Amino acid sequence: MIKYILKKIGYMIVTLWVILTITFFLMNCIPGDPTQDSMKVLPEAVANNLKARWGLDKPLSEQYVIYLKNLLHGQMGESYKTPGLTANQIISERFPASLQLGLQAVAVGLILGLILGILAALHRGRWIDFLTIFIAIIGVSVPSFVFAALLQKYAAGSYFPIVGWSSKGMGIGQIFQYTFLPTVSASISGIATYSRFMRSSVLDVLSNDYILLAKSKGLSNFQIVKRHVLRNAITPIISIVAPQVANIVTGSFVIERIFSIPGLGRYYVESVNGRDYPMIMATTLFFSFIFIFCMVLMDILYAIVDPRVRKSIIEGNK
Amino acid sequence: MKRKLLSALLATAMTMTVVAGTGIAVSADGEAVVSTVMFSDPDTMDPGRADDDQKNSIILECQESLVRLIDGKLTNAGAESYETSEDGLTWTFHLRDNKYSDGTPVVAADYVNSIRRVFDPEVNCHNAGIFYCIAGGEAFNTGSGAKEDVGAKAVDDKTLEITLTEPIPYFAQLLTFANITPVPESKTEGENNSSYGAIVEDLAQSGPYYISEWTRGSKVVLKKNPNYWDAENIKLDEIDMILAQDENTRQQLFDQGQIDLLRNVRTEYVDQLQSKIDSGEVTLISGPQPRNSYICFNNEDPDGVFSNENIRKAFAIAFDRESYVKNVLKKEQAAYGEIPYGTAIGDDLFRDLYEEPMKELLEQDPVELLNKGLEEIGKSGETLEVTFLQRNSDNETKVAAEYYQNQWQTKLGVVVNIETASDNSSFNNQVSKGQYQICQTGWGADYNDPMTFMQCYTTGDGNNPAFFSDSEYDELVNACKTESDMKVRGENFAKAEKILTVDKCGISPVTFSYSNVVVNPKLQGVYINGAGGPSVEFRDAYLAE
Amino acid sequence: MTEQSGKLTKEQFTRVGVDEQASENLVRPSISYWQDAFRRLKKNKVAMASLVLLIAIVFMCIFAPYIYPHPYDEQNIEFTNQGPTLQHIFGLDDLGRDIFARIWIGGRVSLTIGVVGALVSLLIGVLYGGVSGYMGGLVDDIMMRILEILSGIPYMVMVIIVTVFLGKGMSSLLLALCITSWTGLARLVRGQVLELKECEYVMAAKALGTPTLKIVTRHLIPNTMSIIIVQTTFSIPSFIFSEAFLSFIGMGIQPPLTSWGAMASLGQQQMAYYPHELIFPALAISVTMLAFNLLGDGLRDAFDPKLRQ
Repeated sequence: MIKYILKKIGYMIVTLWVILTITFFLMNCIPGDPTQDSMKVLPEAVANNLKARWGLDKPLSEQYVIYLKNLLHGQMGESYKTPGLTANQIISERFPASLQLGLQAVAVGLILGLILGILAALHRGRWIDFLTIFIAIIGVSVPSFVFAALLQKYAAGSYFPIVGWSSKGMGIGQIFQYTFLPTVSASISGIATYSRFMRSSVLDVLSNDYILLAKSKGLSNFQIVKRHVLRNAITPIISIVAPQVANIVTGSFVIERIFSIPGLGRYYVESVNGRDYPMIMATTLFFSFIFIFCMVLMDILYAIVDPRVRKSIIEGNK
Repeated sequence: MKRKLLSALLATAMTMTVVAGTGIAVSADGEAVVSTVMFSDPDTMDPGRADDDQKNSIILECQESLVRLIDGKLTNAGAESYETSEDGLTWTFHLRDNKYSDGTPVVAADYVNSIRRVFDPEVNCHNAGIFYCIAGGEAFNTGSGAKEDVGAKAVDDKTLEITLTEPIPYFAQLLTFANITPVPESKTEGENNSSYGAIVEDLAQSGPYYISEWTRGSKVVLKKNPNYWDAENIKLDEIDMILAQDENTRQQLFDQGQIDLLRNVRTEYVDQLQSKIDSGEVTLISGPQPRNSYICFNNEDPDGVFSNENIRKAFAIAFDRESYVKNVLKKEQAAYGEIPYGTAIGDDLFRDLYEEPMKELLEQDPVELLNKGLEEIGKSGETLEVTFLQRNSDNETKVAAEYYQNQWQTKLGVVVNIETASDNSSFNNQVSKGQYQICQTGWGADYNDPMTFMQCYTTGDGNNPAFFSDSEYDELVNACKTESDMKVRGENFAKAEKILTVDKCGISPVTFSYSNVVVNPKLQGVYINGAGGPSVEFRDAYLAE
Repeated sequence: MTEQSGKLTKEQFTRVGVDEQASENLVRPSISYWQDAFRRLKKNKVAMASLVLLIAIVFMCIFAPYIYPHPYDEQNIEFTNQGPTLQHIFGLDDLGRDIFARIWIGGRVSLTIGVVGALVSLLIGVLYGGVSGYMGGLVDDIMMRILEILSGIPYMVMVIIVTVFLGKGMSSLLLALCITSWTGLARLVRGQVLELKECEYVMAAKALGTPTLKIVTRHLIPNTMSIIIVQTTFSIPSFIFSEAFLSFIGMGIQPPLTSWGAMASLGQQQMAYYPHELIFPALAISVTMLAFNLLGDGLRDAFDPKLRQ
């Protein structure tokens, strides 16, 4: 197991390095530079001054080496757009809100999605089945933006505030109050996806002989689901959830914008638009790290859930 | 199981009492609290880097500029009085006894420090170019001069002297800028020079209010500054500024009474509120804003199309501005000149004195102009194909592009392709390098004088996206930089405006901004500013009983 | 039946012989996996109804613009944002264009993109995931790392780079759409294959010396079919929305042409005042999605080898 983890860490470092190298050079190929963000054109001398300060006047290969050196010291550089704040500070300040929202949304999505999916499969062709199809279709074909706006409209003046986020020192009740609407909006697509996959996966499992055997033994539906179905049907959900967790805990641009949540989402979009190179690199690195971390977790979860897989993943079956 | 969960959820939601609401008002302990929204998330509170509406609006409430715009008039603020030397080059300010929120007195050296920082390459102030009229500023900004040579000095603690390169007649307007509000040098030494403004506890705050709380990405809370020189006349105790970047969210907040003031609302929203406006439950403040949008022709078009004057004119008049504004945009007003309503020239408004020049151009026949132009560029009889560069993915720019495309294609019989820039940086990059044929862009006043709109189109100016060049225009506009007689200036500007938009048609204005602000009627004494000053001035605001 | 009760003569017997060919004949007609699947699909009424609906939508996309009296790019500037009327049954958009006409023009783009995108990522994703999961070991490691690298590079950066080098147009649009879209399916298939390859029938096939590719395509993929189908039907709307995003940043279709995604994005911004501009394109996407999903369900039932009788 230790060997496995060491191997994964090694792979992670190499993968991260490849990602950041490719991103570094690609981002410098994009036309436009950070001095052209504003509509007002800076005098050339001023623009050149700025570029010199940011080290953009050096050849690209040299910039790359400098970047790597700083990175080894844990420095991701100062954001061009938010003077006085380093990328490290921005991420550590903004990540907690995104993480909280993301985890809550995934949890809600998973719980409701799995329950709906299992119920739909068990009562195939009945109303609950059609209800899940309906929810799923709505969930994927109407963007979360629209749900958020509708929620804001109908929650107006109610217990739930339509903007803002929980802050330090709030009790559990207040946290619930502030995070309820964003969590609901962010979890809808999850509910849709997970329920559909779960339904399909459970149907697969139900056609197996061991289910027939379990039924003939007189096990209740609940027992069958708990003992046999859940474990066998969950693998596809794991491969769906893992990358989505990475996506959602690192920030959602739309939801954070609508509910004014101090999260990380805006930086993914705005750093590219504004050619804020240190922030592009920092967000890329951060996202990739979380993403790969989730992938490793996914493999470990596979192994836990399904003993058959343990051999091929952990022990490296050739 | 699922049904149980759902009904339980519904039940809790319904039994919970309504607690949110009431933005305005007097809180439990008798404080006057007002709420408003921020349209964007401010990235710094450094006055030296205040380069957008949002940052200006906050910083100008918590910093005292030498002069403030009160009810549209320049009013001495940080300066008790000031005088100008005979030649108009030396301005001497006598400062008031004012204190920062932490109790330290404001001294002339603090203003000097801020003025130097405007030009400091490390600070990267986007407004530096506007202040190049201050001696030594341009040299320091572009790296060829030292900060000690910038023409601002503290004669004593209470006397500030600013030296100009030219006697520019609108310099008093520039004194309202957030960029030159006082910051003690001790706050911006060394490393802090580039990081000042990131931490709210370190801010020097000399204005009627001070920032007591700043949650990035969420909200800013302003509190009354007890050390402000005029603190006894400041009636509000707290201003909450909630971040709401989405238009729909902002309207919901106003509908629920969680905010007391909302700027830049759409006409449709005003229509929705009309019955409340009529009954006095909501106050509507409408007025022109010194901002325009225009069709920008590349006068040095690499394809040799829009370098032709007649083709430019044909495109300029081949659509109906009134119908565009009324039916498509549903906001702003149609523009027939470059200088918007609300722009002042001396004590008057420019547009009160000089008519919009473009109306005569509209009487010509666009097709005739086009054919004449095509003949001139040797493409007579051909179907002209041009590419319109769309700024970005924004819905508004998209609608505009598709409207022009349709109008030009049907009225002129040309083919118009639309090219969308991937983002603003790409657009700015392409336009500033002249890699486009035709696009739409706009300009907002930096200060309240026609010069802010006219200077861009002088030959070789960095902000001349049209690459317009006309010697007579240059002469007229440059003369206005030093001319102090407002009548002469006004006539010069009017002539230059006609050259730009009619005779040469280098660019073609389409709209002037017109803003609608909805306000809780209890909140009174707020001033809506166009150019200079915070976009909403709360200094004199109070709650009506 | 004794010899006495009836005389048996030699003539009564004819030599039948062993007809080797005939013995191979089956009484029931032989049905391949695919034939069986289609047979079962045809019996599924919901799935067939969905298929008919999809065909109807495609039909309308092709022919409606020729029949319907209002062209999709005609701007009635005086009537912008008008709600549904008898003349314009779905109303007009923010430039006074007929939404009914635009739905069908937009459908051409959205359906093409959705189906082509889904098929391309189906092909790449299934093969990639299948091979990665089946081979395991170092091959799996490397293939998964490549996938992580693709997912890690910011999408916006990749898209802009594609336009810089390929220009803007349909081909760069398709490339931008497919560049990372297949990774989800690849991961999914890999996970399933990891599990299935330990099954007895795979071992049997291996023991018989079946080539790897054949094991993957014959045994492993059919057994993951149900998940593949769900993922593929689900990916169609995400392609439709990605296309809207890419068109918005200037790739792909150029105005006045439109797509469902672009219409829906526009509608979102207008929904507080003119809900019809959101409802109709969203409805078009939803109905199509519903049909694809129900058809997908039918396909799933039809292709699932375990349900084969």
